[in-house]
Amino acid sequence: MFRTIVVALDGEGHTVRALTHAIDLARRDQATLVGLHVVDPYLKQFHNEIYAVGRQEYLDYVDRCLETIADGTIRDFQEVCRKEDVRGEPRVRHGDPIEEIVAASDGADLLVIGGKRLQGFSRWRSRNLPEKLPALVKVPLLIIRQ
Amino acid sequence: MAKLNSLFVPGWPRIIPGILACILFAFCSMNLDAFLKTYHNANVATQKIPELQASLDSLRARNAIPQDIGKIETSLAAQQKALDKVHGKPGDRYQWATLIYEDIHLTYVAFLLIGGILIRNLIGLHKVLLPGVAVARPIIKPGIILLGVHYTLRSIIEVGATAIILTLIFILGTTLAVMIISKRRGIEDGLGGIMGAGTGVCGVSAIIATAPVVKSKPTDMAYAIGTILLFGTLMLLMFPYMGKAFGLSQGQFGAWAAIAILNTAQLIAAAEWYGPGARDMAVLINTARILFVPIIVLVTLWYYVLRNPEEAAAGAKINKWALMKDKFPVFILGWFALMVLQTFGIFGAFDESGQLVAGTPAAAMDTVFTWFFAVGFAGIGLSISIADMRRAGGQAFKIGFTVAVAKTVLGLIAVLLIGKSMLEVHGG
Repeated sequence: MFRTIVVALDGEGHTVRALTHAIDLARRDQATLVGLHVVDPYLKQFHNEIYAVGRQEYLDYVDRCLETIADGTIRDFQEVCRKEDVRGEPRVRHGDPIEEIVAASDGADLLVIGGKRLQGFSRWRSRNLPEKLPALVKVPLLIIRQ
Repeated sequence: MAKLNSLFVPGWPRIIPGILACILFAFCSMNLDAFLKTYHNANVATQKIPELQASLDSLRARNAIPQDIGKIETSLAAQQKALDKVHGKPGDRYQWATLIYEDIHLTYVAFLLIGGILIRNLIGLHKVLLPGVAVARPIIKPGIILLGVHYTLRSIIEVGATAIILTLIFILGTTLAVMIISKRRGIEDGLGGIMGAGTGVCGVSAIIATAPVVKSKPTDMAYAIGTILLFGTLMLLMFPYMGKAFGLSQGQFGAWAAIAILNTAQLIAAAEWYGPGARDMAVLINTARILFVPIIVLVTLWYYVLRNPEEAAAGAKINKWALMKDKFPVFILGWFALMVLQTFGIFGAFDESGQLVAGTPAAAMDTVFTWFFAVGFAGIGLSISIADMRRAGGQAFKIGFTVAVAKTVLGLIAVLLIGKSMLEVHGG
């Protein structure tokens, strides 16, 4: 029986699918569902390019974009939890997605993530969380493939 | 104390470890370069000394004029000095040094870039070094400013027209072509705009300048930056060897690199790797290229925002003059000021071959700028991450690939057609 379930969300289709399964599990076990969104500051590192101009405007713009995505993802999560009558707890963390998901899942009973079916070049390109997380997380992990 | 603190950027101690690592890496690479160059020169000297000695004997036997004998004696002394530096004697061979330094062309630029890429991607960089390594890259800028002493107004006028025509065709041409074709193919404005500016002007720097204007999505920005870095790095590693294979002169290579290589950091590195003449030509065209950044941002604003009836009202409120000022690369004024002062010979004269005379302030600046470049290249090499390039994808990858191939081929044809003489930067 799960008391706390963490589901990783980024607003993309595969994580929405993962949320649907996490909701089912949370409702069945009367668990608290933690909707985790990680704000990845990856793009900000490029503001130091050699000839970059308008750096502050770029940093502010990236912040606004990431904030908008985070707000939308959390709002959708809360909406679904209210509709499905599940105790939802939104959580936003900042940093590297893998590190933050591992840290946020610590102490939970289950971590749910979505995964895309990737092949060839796309698979090489992707950071592929479903392949990396099993070796890093200390809690049971459920991967919902698209 | 508060006033003193205000002089520092918040969090400045975080950059110290990475900066020190880059300085150390640059120091080792520069010394390795100097070591190889010394032995390569000695290897050349061991082959030249017998020839020069024979010429000298022949001239003396024929009672040639003292000036001719003097010239050969000076050359012989220089070669003997090169050999003495490695405590060698005529007949000794240091072919390994010539192979590495001359044939494979592994200079300090190659050590810093290839070595940096290998360290970053095979061993990895500790987190504590990352902020300083990122800050090390723009240290190239003071080097570019100091490089202003390599030019005079006369030298710029000599190649200026060719440089401006090449810049207009390849920079503006690429930007407009990518934006128009992207629009017609239904590619989102946020992606078409940054790819037009990124592939046309100066890569990631142009993406940073235009992304807020065309309101690019973060996923598209990651795709675009990954694509520019991927093709920029491939071009950096391939161009110097392709240039040698096609027999390009220093000036031709500099012009080719400046109009074709997608990212600024990589183009300066490739040109410096090829040689000083290539670097001077590439920096000159690149200066014209980055002066286009504010113009390209305005063109992008007009093409994607002001022409669009739904967004025109919001776009009209944007202060265009403030936008231009914000996107203007101010440091170029430093380069320009040094070039103007050098026109009047303030920092020292050029000799007959167009080289700066030793012992002058300009010659000292020549040494200093190399160190700025070396630390910057250390930052560039250690920043080139395969993980970043793996993010290349989607429509951005297709656009980047097409533009990279087109600019490589068309740029090569252009510099071959223009010829060597019109693409040389002569000091003085």
